[in-house]
Amino acid sequence: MAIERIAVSPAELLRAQADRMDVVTRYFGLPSAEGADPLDRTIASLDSLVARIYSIRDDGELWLVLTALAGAFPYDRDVEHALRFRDDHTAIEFTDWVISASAISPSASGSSILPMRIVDSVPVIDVSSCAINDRQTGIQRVERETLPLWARDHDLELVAWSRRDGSYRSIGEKERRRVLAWGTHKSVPADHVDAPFEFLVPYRTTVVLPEVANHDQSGRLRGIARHSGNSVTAIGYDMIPMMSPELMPKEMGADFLEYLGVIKYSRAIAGISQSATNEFRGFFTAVSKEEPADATVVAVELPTAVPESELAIARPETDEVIILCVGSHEPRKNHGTVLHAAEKLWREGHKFQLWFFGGGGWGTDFDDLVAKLKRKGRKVELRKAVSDSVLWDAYRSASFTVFPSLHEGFGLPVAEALAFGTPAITTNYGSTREIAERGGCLMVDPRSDEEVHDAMRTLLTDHAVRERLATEARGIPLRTWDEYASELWKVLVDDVV
Amino acid sequence: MSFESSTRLRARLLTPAARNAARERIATVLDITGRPATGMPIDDLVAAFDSFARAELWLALAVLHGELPVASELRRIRRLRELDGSWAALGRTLRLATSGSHYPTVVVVGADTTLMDVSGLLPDHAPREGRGIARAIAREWGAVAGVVPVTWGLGGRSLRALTAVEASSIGLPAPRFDSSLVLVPHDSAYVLLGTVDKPRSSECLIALGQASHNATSSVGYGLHPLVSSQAYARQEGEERFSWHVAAQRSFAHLAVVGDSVIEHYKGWEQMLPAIGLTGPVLHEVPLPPRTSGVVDVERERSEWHALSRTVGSLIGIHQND
Repeated sequence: MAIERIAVSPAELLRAQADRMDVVTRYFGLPSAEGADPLDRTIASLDSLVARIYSIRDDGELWLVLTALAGAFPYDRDVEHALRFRDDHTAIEFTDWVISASAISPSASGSSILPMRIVDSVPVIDVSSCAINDRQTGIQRVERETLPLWARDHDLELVAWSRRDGSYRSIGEKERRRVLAWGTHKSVPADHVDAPFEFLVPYRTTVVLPEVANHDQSGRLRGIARHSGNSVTAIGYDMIPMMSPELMPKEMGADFLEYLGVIKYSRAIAGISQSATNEFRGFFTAVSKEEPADATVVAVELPTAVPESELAIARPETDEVIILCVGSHEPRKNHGTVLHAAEKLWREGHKFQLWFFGGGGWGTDFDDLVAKLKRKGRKVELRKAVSDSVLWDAYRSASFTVFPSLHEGFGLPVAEALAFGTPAITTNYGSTREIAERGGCLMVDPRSDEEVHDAMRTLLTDHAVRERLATEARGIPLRTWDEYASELWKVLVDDVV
Repeated sequence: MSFESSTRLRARLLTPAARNAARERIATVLDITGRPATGMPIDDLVAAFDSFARAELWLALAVLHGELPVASELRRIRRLRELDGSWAALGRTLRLATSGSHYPTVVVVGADTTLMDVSGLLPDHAPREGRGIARAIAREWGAVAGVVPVTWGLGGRSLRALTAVEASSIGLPAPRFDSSLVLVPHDSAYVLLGTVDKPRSSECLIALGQASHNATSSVGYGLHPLVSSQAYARQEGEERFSWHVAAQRSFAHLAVVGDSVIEHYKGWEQMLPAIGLTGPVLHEVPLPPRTSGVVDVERERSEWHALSRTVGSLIGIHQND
């Protein structure tokens, strides 16, 4: 996607740059530069600022000056270059270098003419994806449940990434509602060009990444994490792109590797399960010799997001046996194994319906297999893009669920099924194992057709086992979003400060 | 039409080239797996298909297709066999095996051979960490009887010997096999000495490690493109170092050569339980100490010799002194 360019005159750029330099000058308690000519003002500001950063040698202050000069967050390599210049040259040479940099920065790097504001007293929360689009996958769901609770209990600044400028900007009211009041907002397109936004610069505060940064962000976020004096913290979802490339679309994964370059310099990671946490710990072990990290990596397990009112609804009375499978149809979800086991069970004479609820898919012969089974008169039902309430109904109606995923950061469909007292068959390792060990589940090796088939047959035929698992499931205490949000804030904000 | 009828019909409609290739390959499969050959290739093969264990099925697909199979295809054939019988599984196998127009000769290499994969070490391959070390080891091992340097054929799904030019470009002796042959290991050994970052080849190696009857091992030089991606060009497109590491995951042994890079693999090992795997046994092999001053060629040569001996002994390649 091309980065949108907007027409801004050189005079406007120079004026905006002078204004940004003035913000930094005042922030450090230095006298403001005066005069009508913006270039003169910038150079006057630089005189005092460069003298300060040369003598104090604080990397964060240098990062802030470079940020103000460019109107964009510098890449870490650019900060390193500046640091080397500062450390290897005389004050006059360094000043000369910065003035040269100031001349090229507005056009070569950022082009922001937004007014700059330094955010130093509250954490900055990056909601770039969640704020500007209506996607509601697992990550956005975590944000849209957690951040309203954070905003209720704490002061914070929500920011979105500006691809055009390479920096953070404030978010508009509609975007704010998309994050903090999901369900009540009206879908709107990204609107970051004409709105009266600010260029927001976190400084000596905490920058929280509840989303996975993209390619465009990572180089500059690495600069923030390494050199700005801010603490970068993140939610750790999984390491699928690094560890399981065969379970992802082949062209994907490069962004994630660059994002790991940010994670490497982060101060705290909150894994969404113990398994995900161990993956991130493994990453820090891998980099430990070259980049000894000072990161806290702990598990803050996701809650089971089912409203109590839904749980209070009675299960429908039915003689139908329904097996439910929730998730998109992609290699990682392993639905081919479920279809194979189901066909064997139908051939053995068992009577049941097989429901697949979930989004689209890629990279499997799932659709062909389903069509083949339907031609044989098998009861397979596919539902895509279902609402929460339809999904809750399905959990209540199902005799049991099957979720033999090959790699999961957190097995939400397993936890949700158990919340409804519905037994589950799931993978015997990783995050799903953690959930299954609390009860209500049969665990299988998802790579074994036999184990999946045997477990499904057990739950189809052995009502005592099914009832025992259902009882276990109903006894599992439910974790709430409030608990999650509170623990997450402690790990990603309080403990870091 | 039954699966048997359609498979027989398909066999009758093959072009002469496809029919000859199929006959040869079926004979190879029956021979290597010790199944009877009565002169009725299709009937013999379908009888064999009924009883093939996992590794035999892997071998059969590799030989019949002239390509190393991927896990999803193995699974698909196994399931077809289970639900619809061996004629259905064989029908699909033959359809895929005879869909091309070119049928290279397939040679199954056995217990006396170690396929040493030097992908990534040839001059026209993108350079990776450890290339110099790997080439030095390749030269040492290339002189060992039974070691056959290989790389991936054009489609990225079959192994072939190097051409004479390729071999000489990295200082290896003249190849034992013609580069036009497809080499399939069985009861043999495969060592990944270089780098395989193409998805197709990596997927074949994952299945080779999981399902074939071969001793598998590799040499690792660090996970730099994964843990320090900022120092590398963006890994655009399909080729990516994570594919190389995914292949190594399914091997039995991994000799880690280098200073401090064992930590990369220990961290990686910590992540593997998330996908239900333990990964290969890790062996750390430090590099010879670097010395400054006058270069002592003889000493360096002897150090590389010692290093390759150490690495070789860990993964089953035994050099003479």
